[in-house]
Amino acid sequence: MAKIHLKQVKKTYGKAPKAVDVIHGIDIDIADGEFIVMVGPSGCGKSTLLRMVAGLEEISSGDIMIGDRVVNNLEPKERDIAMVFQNYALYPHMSVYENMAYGLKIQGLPKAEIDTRVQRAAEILELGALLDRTPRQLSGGQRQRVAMGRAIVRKPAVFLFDEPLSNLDAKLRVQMRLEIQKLHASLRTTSLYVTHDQVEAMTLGQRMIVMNKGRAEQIGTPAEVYGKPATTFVASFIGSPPMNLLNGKLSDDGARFTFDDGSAFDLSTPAKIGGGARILGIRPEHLQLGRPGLNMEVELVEALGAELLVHTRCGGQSMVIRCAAGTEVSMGQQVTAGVDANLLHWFDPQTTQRID
Amino acid sequence: MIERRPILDAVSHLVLIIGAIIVIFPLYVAFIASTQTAEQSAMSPLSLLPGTEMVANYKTVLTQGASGNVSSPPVSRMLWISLVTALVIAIGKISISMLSAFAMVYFRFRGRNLFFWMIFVTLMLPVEVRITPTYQVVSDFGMLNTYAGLTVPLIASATATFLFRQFFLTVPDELAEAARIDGAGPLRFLKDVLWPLSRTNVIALFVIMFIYGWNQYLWPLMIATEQTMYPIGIGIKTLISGGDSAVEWNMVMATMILAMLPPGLVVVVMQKWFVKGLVDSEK
Repeated sequence: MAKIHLKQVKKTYGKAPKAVDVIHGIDIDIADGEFIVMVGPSGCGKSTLLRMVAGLEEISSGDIMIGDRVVNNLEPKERDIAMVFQNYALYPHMSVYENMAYGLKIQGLPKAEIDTRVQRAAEILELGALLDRTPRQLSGGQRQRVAMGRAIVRKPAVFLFDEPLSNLDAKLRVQMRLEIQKLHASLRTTSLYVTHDQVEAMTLGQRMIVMNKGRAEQIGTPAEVYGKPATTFVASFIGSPPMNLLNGKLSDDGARFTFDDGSAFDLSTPAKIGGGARILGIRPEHLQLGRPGLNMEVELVEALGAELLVHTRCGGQSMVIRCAAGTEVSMGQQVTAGVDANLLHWFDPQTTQRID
Repeated sequence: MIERRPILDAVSHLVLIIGAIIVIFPLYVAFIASTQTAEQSAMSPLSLLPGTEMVANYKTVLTQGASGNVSSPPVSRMLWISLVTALVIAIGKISISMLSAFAMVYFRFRGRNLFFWMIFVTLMLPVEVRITPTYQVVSDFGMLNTYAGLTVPLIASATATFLFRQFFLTVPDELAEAARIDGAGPLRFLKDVLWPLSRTNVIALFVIMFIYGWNQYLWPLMIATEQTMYPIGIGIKTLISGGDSAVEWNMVMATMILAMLPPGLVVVVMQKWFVKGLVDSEK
């Protein structure tokens, strides 16, 4: 069990003139026992950051502390971490038991101690019946459990997960997500979890780091990130379908928003953020069809069973509304949709930062 | 094949039987000749029925030397030389090339690519091309008529290094990383993970390299100037070039049958594991 501190952690590939920065200085304090999810599109540097914590990538500048130690120059085995890989990385020629015991064997633990730990982990993960099998005789979910077992037996201070569920099918992913949650609830080990799946990020993380192009766009609880996205990137990345982002201009009194194509609508309560060019963000689920407010034309209706996604054109820009199944709308129809003023999000079009 | 056509079956069997006869008949003749007396085996046409001298012939060949007409060491000695040479070459090649491939794939060092290309380029230089300088070196080191002289220059192998390199590249990086996190150092990783995973390749290479070593002719011809260091390949040749005296074909054939046994055995035994390895392992 340990805290993790990242202090201005940077990663640069290549040498001075041709250097490429992939991580631009990340700061975060992770509390003991916390479950942190790093989420972002591919290439945003989230896996690189995780691998830097693991000691598989060098740290170009800044400090990574696990517990009270700066671990920058420590080998992975000295960092008191365990990692679960996306493709499991089980040793194909060893049995499940040997896979889990291998790290302990290298540490030189006595046989009896190894056996107790492996049996205990197998019990937690329900692998008891599979201990003699080799990885290729296991299904994807079982392999992932073995990979987690290999992490658990080491009793590390920190668990690192690198997209552990990406190789599983949708149903298994949901199941393993729950198991990881249960596991964390019982072991309370500090965990860093990398994923590109926002559902995993929202459900697993006590806090999440939304990353984009090597920067942490926002660090906060899932509710904070969803309710108050710090930038337009976060707003469009978290939430499905993503938040509608509309370019336009807010009048100086904050009561009227004019879209780029000239059409406008009046806010039910004026926004106290000053006038000027603004990006207006509205979550699809916050728009209520039929209420007065925005005028739009329906372009497409997607029926998802429990709900309808109504794609419309509003002020020359596309907009999605999420409404209950059974709502009567059809293509080409002119509709209005209203939204509570306190559910609107405002962003600066230059900096893409949130304005409150 | 799911097709059921009796004629097709018959034809394929016929072709296979003809092929088998073509391969087996010379072996059969050699064996038959090795069981006859010198006079019988020199007759033309040769009798295709086994003679009575089998035990005596093989005993003579193994213990006293192959022929009364040509002075040569006992075949057992030559077999021993060949066996040691082939084993040292095969094991040496596999160890050296595995280690160098391991270095090239898993370590980042200055000139890594240069070394790889240097090794790769030597693929184009077989023993025959570099035989004179190599001979000079070996002779200057005083390694003529030694096992070292027979084996060391043949151990370096670009082919095997290349094969191991290609295999190591197919092993997922995460495996190496998982081992690092588990605390395994490089040699431990090589021993505990890479070695078991590449066992199939090792067996295949061992078979090929053993036969390569066993069949060496040109190189030992230069290095082994004393009869006591003749490997079996040269031994057979010396038996045939009898000069004025008659060649004792029964003895020659017995020697040849004996010379065929070890590589045949290696193939048969190893093939079983080789196929088993292919079926069992998954990368």
